[in-house]
Amino acid sequence: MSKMVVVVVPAHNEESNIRKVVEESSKHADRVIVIDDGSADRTSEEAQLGSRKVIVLRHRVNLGKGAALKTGCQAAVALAADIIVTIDGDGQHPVEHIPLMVKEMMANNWQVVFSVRQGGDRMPLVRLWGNYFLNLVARNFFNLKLRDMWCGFRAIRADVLPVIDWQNSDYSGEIQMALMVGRSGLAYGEYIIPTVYSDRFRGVSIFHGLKLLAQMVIWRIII
Amino acid sequence: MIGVQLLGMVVGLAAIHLTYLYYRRAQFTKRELYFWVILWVIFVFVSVFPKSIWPVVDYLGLSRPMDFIMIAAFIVLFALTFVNYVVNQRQGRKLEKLVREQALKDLDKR
Repeated sequence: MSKMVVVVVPAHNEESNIRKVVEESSKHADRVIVIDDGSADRTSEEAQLGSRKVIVLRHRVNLGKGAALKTGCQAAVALAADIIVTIDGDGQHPVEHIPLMVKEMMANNWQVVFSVRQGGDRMPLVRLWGNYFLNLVARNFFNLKLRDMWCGFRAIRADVLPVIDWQNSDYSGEIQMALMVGRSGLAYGEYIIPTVYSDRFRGVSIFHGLKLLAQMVIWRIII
Repeated sequence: MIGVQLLGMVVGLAAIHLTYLYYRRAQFTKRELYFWVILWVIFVFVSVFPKSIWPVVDYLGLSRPMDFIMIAAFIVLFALTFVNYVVNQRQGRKLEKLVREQALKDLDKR
């Protein structure tokens, strides 16, 4: 029996990238849900392709990536999704890998799949080290053995969402979700994708990384 | 009266004026008005008559009124920080819930 695959795309001020992301991902999924997270530009309008496959939901104010992902996942569950694939709205993720990623997920009976960026563009050195260090902390604190915890290209079985319910509404919600996978003992695997960097100055900074590190210590104590 | 006492009195009186102003603009309830006015009157009184808190200072085993004021200020600051954090978190959760519900309503329309 084929599984219903729904792609969730959190997007904030992505008017220049979102159309292509939605067009490409809709070729590889049953539905695409874009969450315009309070963008000040034309992200919502650009994401509307006039296709029944594409749904654009709008946060009236910017809540953050974690909150946008949560809204998207709730919408996907409401649409009776079996597998939810999360991708970024900036076009960094190779969406043509979605079918292969899902196939590997099913073949290995994984409940969650995390992608690993390897090859392609070079990741900025600070991010490379930051990523390495955070992965190390996650491994020791949360028993989560991942090589690229920051990558937002993931596949999640819809039925495990209640187990990995994340609370943080900002970018750290995505990390919290990953850590919950480690803590709850779900079956997870990794899938290798090429690294693409469209803008080196966007995304998380070293300060975000330090803040996240402090949060991870707190989560270790309270979760 | 030394400068710092005068400053304390001016700040306290200005705060009472602002409190009354907020009440007249219906931004404070009558209860809030009484609470803040009483607090600021105590502040002005202690600024003008610092020796009035000696009994409290003696009772707590402190050596100077300034020690009492500093300790009280830190306690108030910590309490306010905690209250602000809790209120901020609560408001954030409410906002997130409201925004999400609005967004998901668009899904129901389809």
